[in-house]
Amino acid sequence: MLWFLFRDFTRPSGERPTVVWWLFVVAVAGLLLVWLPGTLGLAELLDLSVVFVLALLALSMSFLWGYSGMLSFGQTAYFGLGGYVYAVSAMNLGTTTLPFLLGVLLPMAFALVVGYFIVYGRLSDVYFSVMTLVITLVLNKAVRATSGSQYVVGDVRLGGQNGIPGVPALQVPWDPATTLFIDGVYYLSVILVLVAYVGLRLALASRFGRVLVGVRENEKRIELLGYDPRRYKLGAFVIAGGLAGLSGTMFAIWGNFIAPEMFGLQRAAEVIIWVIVGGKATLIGPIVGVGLIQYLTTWLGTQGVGQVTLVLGVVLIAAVLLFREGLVPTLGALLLRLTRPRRRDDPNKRDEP
Amino acid sequence: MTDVLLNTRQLVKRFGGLRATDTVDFDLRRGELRCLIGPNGAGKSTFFKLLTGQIPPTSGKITFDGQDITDMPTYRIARLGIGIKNQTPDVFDGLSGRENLWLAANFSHAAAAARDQVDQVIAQLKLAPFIDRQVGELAHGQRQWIEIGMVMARQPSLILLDEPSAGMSQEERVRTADLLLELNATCTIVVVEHDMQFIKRIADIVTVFHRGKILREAPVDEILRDPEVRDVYLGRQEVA
Amino acid sequence: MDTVFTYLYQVGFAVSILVLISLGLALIFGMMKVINLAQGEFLMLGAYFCVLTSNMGAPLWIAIPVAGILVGLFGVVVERTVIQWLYGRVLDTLLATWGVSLLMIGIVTTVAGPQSHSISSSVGRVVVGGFVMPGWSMVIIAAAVLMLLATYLILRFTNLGLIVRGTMQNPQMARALGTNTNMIYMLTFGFGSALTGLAGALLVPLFGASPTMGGLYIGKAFIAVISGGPLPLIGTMSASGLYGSIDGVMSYLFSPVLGEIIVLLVAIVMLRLLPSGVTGGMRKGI
Repeated sequence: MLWFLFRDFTRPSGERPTVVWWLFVVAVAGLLLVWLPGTLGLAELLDLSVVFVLALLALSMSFLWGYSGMLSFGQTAYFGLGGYVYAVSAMNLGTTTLPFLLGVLLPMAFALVVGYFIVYGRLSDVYFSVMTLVITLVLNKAVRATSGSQYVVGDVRLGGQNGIPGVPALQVPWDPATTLFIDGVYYLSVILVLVAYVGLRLALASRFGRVLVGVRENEKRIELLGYDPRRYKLGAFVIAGGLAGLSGTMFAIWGNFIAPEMFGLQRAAEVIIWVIVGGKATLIGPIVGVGLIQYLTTWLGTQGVGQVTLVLGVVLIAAVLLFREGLVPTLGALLLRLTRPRRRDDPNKRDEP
Repeated sequence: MTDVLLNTRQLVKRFGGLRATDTVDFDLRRGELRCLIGPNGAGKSTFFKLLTGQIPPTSGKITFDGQDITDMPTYRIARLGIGIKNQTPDVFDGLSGRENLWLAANFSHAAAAARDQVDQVIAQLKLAPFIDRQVGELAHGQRQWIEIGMVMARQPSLILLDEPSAGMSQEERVRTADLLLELNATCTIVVVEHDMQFIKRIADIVTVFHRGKILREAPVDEILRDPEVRDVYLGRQEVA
Repeated sequence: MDTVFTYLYQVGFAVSILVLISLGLALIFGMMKVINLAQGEFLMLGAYFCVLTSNMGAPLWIAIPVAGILVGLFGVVVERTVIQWLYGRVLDTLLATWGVSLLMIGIVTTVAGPQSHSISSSVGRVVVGGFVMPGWSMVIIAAAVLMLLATYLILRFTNLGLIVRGTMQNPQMARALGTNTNMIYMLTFGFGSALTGLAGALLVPLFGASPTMGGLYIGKAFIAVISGGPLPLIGTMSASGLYGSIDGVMSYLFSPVLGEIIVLLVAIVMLRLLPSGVTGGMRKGI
């Protein structure tokens, strides 16, 4: 019975979600939204919220890399952009609903333009990765250079290295006098992750998602079947950009603060590490990856032992050289083998047509 | 509508100094089952790649169904109704056989019709025993069948098959030949083959490629008797 | 006259910097197809070795080559421990070298602290007419020309260069002809690393050394190599010339950051127009 769920963790394909899967989602939602907030204090909820905020970024990455086969090193570009767009527009406009939407839509528009050039330029895999990284680096540098008082958008100073403090909390759209407090941000981020997870899962079961996986498997064959792979890749790139932008917006709301580190190399590497540790070709894995790495870095911070970058570097090298499939698929495959009826003895298996 | 489905005029493809396809004038009537033969490196696969837009020609013109497709991108040529099976199995290794066929059928059919189409192909090609396994794990011959199934699922008006019987058993070859004759009732087919038994079973007109050029084009019996063809190609092979 | 000279100097300097930082990458990425994301940190390591050697009392003209050699040896170690397992697995190489990059930043920060270290050169200023230039810029321009020329001559005219080019083009054939290709990969990687370390050391008198300095240069270097196309050396150098000129003029007119952004925009548009790079149409050469 359970093996179907585990299969979802190891290799979710274009299959339609089953009843068991929906029950699983509902159970997890109940756990996170009803049970957990009752048992945890505000400080713990605050720590936990950021895991879900960053999980959106991880989902964006695994959707793009694991399912569409495009390894973007620059999802942090859209993450940072989302945060800055929300901060600057919310501080200028005084409301937060429109800025929240802008924090998603503007990164999508940016992804559309960038994606047009690098997807339609038919940049090969590797060049694609490097170009996305370069774009992030340059954005990071540009934002860092805005410390002077002449760099002002509306009434807001961009602040360069120092970032922008005092990013407004999110107002309830129908009641602007009320703003989301720590628990509100927690609920919102959990709901957004669940919606994004279910949405991506359904998108992958749709025609669009199946063709996308086909592009990852064999782009030439997809084209010979009559699909224009570039349109699908661009679509995936824009969706992923929007998701990363949403994550950045939520990050700004969560911390009431944004800084150029959002675009930084370390953040960009972390995104890769979450997904590689969790398993790139699953949607659950990267969320688990975020939790693990976030816990690890926080713990290292409190212990005061050495540099976080040093440890991240070791984790990344080890992940690439030693366990390539990622943690969740490895565990999933193990559970699958333990619970699933054995098919190896199937006498028809080797039959030729 | 003209009787000619596909033709090429003065088609040239140069790789560096090599003329892989050299001023080829090729005509194919609607409903034909044409065989292309020629020694390795004669330019048959290159010719197929030119027809499907996988590589751009150096010069010349390709017309399909009255439309100039010379510089069209691959996916638009495919949409016009040309299906191809490449020489080596060219499938989605990470997906199941059913998903492979679905991707092919879905392009020209709505969702429900696509499923029916997939089921029909599975039944027709007897793919059921291995259709739900990941294609990357299948044997070479089984992958060939999946790819042929993908081409069929799209119901193209022209099918190009590059060595469909390579890696197949004798019995499978007979089946493939019969399948081609069956398909030929509804669509035009061009087959690249080396197996003379196979060719004799299906072909009507045979085109012989040699060094990128068309050397001969004649009914199969005439080709087998032609001394020059025997010289460049058949001489090295047992003519049955 | 002075304006013309100023522009010439700006362009020459910007092009030289770009040539320096992308030369090692042109070998490692352009020729070997190893995408080494730790390239910026190799540069950083070169800068630190230079600071270290010079603090031990060595004059600059010794400290710089020593830094280059040390980084070259370090490159050999990285190739043997990490990269050699990953040839042919391009994306894995990318990820693992990113790990190396983070590891190096972490180690250097732990050992030497996050702050910037600097040393001053004894070369003064050069005055031409009414125009004053930092003397070290002249050294940089000269070094870029020399290093480029040396690399080109070695690859083009020596036996070893021929073996290297052959191995990169067709390793199987090279092996069949009796070449120890593992050794050649290791040497080429080491040589590329040494060039990068040398570049890092040369930059110290101008910009100092800090753990995260690699990130400042790596982007530009990759843009230059990618835009260069199939001929690693000539392509990268042409792209460096083009982007360096744009960068130099724009930096002088507006600001260095704007210069870099414009270079990136030009590069992205170029990739759409010329997907296979500046040397896309050429087949022969290095």
